[in-house]
Amino acid sequence: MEIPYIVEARKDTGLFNSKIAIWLFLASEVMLFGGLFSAYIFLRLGADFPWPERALPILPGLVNTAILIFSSVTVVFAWAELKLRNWRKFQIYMSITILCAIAFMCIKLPGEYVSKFAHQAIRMNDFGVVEGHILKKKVYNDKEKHVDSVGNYLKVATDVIKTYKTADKEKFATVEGLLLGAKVPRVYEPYYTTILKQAEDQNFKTYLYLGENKDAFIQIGEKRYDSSTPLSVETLAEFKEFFVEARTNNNTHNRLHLNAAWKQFRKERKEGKHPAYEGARDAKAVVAVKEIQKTLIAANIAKYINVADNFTDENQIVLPDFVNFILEGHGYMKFVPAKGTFGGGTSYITDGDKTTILHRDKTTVIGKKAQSGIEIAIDQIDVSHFVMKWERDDKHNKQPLSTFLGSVNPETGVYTPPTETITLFSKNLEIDYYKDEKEIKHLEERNKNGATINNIWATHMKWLHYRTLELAKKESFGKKLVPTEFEKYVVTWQHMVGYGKVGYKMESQADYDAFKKVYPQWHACWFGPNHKKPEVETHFPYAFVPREEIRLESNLTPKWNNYYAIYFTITGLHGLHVIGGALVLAYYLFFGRKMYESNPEWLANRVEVGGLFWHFVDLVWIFAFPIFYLM
Amino acid sequence: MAGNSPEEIAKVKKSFIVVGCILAVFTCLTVAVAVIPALDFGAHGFSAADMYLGLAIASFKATCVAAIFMHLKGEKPIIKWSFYGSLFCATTMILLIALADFNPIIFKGVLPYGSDMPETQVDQAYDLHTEETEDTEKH
Repeated sequence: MEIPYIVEARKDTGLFNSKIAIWLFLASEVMLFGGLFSAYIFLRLGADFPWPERALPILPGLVNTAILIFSSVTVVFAWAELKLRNWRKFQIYMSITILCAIAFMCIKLPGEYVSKFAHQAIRMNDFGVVEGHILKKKVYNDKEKHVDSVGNYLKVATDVIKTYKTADKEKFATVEGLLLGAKVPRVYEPYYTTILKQAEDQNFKTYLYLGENKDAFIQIGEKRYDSSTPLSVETLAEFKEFFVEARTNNNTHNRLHLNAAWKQFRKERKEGKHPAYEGARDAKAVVAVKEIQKTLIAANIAKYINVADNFTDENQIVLPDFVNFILEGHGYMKFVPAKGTFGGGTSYITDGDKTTILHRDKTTVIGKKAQSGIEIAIDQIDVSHFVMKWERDDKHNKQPLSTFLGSVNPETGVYTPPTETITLFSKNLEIDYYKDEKEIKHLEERNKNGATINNIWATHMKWLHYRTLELAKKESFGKKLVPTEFEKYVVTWQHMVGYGKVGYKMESQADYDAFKKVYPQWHACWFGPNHKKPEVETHFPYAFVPREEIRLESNLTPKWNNYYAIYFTITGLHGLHVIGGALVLAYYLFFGRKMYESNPEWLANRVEVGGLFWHFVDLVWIFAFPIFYLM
Repeated sequence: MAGNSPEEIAKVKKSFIVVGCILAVFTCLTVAVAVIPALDFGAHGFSAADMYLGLAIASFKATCVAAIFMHLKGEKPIIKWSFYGSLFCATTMILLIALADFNPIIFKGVLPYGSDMPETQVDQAYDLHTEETEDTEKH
């Protein structure tokens, strides 16, 4: 079917059809993004937490804006060249546009998004917040402390079964064993392979557990599995195979017996042995299903069905769904979620407490969580949430803020440390136990600088003193300037690096000026703090945050707060538009030649429509950039 | 909307370059007012003045893109009005913020939020304490 008015304009509207269509589509898009921006404003105005202002590195956003503007120019140039019937130049401009789209997405996805996923944030019980990067280390041989990023690790020890029911007297007890309940019908090989690999690496002893009775065994065919049978994927596969066979066998026998029971019932009914059933049938009344069932029960017919359930035939094979294994040894175990097994494999953890972890398929892991926390290289210290809580909470209001955060005498500039230590400044967080030889040198260097959280905070308070003095000299609309809440209560990574570079010395105006010279400005960072640069990384303090101190831990994703939720929603949807638009434009570029030769005006119209969509993508970004990056 | 003659196309191409340069300059300006302390309007740091300025620049840039790049300038009324209609809807959604503190259940015809009304009248408007005390007195 030929679509009318795709080259020439309709007489009544004066437009070709696809142009009206794209504008109607863009109108709906305006309302869609308008709604999302409206949601952003609602969330921000209604936020019950300090909204992260200017939290994203500006440079990638600025570069992306430049890329989109440039591509908007090239796409209209491509259209103009097509109007001039200049195919070669059209190709060049359109290629540049598509390359711009690729560059935009490269900065957005592998750059910005990935750096957000790699960035960790922890809110503690008293609302102190740290941000940074999780230190992922191989700590299998470290028996005292370990890293745990998601809480799925269990520390296990030799004293196995006996300690299952021991009360959790000490917070940091490190005993306990591991009882793994493998759900035989759903044995998912990669899941157990990862467990066995970890067990093997750490010299675990793994074997079948058939309860307290040591003489118990499982007989499969001629094979006999007793309590010393080692756990292996092959063993589990055999169990699984046998279970499937057994189930098939049992189902077959059940079916045969049900058939026999039914035949017998029909025969007896003909002989008039079940008058109640006949009565219900002959009444021809509309009888509810339950009533029929009652009649059946009254007629004692149900016994024919029950006989199949309770059937004890020698052909029936009894095999439990779960087979238990013991993993015995010192070390750590991570239960890797089974990927690609939607509705199938062991998959993720659904529930659990201090001694038990329950997987989605009901596989149960019993043990006891050992000392578990997060080891983090901190690149931002944020007490603004703590201050918010302090302002709202009457209990805390009885004590001045300086009790918790320390203070600087405005006259002398002398710093008084806090008397009530909040978790963030407690000594428990500081760590210095790295066993890795490469780390030792690094650690010594860092300790020499004294880059502890307390030291940084003390420097920050002194910096704030000089910052206040500096701003007080300036005025805006007749009002003296004061430091922002963000400056007061958040120590950013740039500050940490700056403080480190001046040796945490902030005793005079000269020190303050020296700090300003070494402070990394906005254009010095690309995707934020770089933990791989030695000259920067040494200024980030390491901390071990115990799990019981953690209120919420997340990477910088929607889970962390509404800001990142709306950021990912709007920029993600915008990114999808970029990809879609680029695909359409690429189609014109690579497959448009034939149309160009037969009907160049048609192609020009198509490019115009695609270009309109591309400009809309630019239009959305024009608002998204200042809102997310600059406000 | 440009015609098809080479002269007209060459003319619009020039306007595209000009608009591209304007967009680039204003983008730099937006960043400058946000990061350079000397250009920081209003209170120190991010403030309402920065927001209005940033959004004003963004709106100007968006207008340039829509008018020139998207040829909305000189476009047929049917397209103009469909676009303006959608803009109106989007703006309305954003202006709904004005109702963020409005509660239709306890609202009695006076909007006390942000007004100079004395606290007692605010309480009455919101029905907070007055009726409770009256009830207890009756009993």
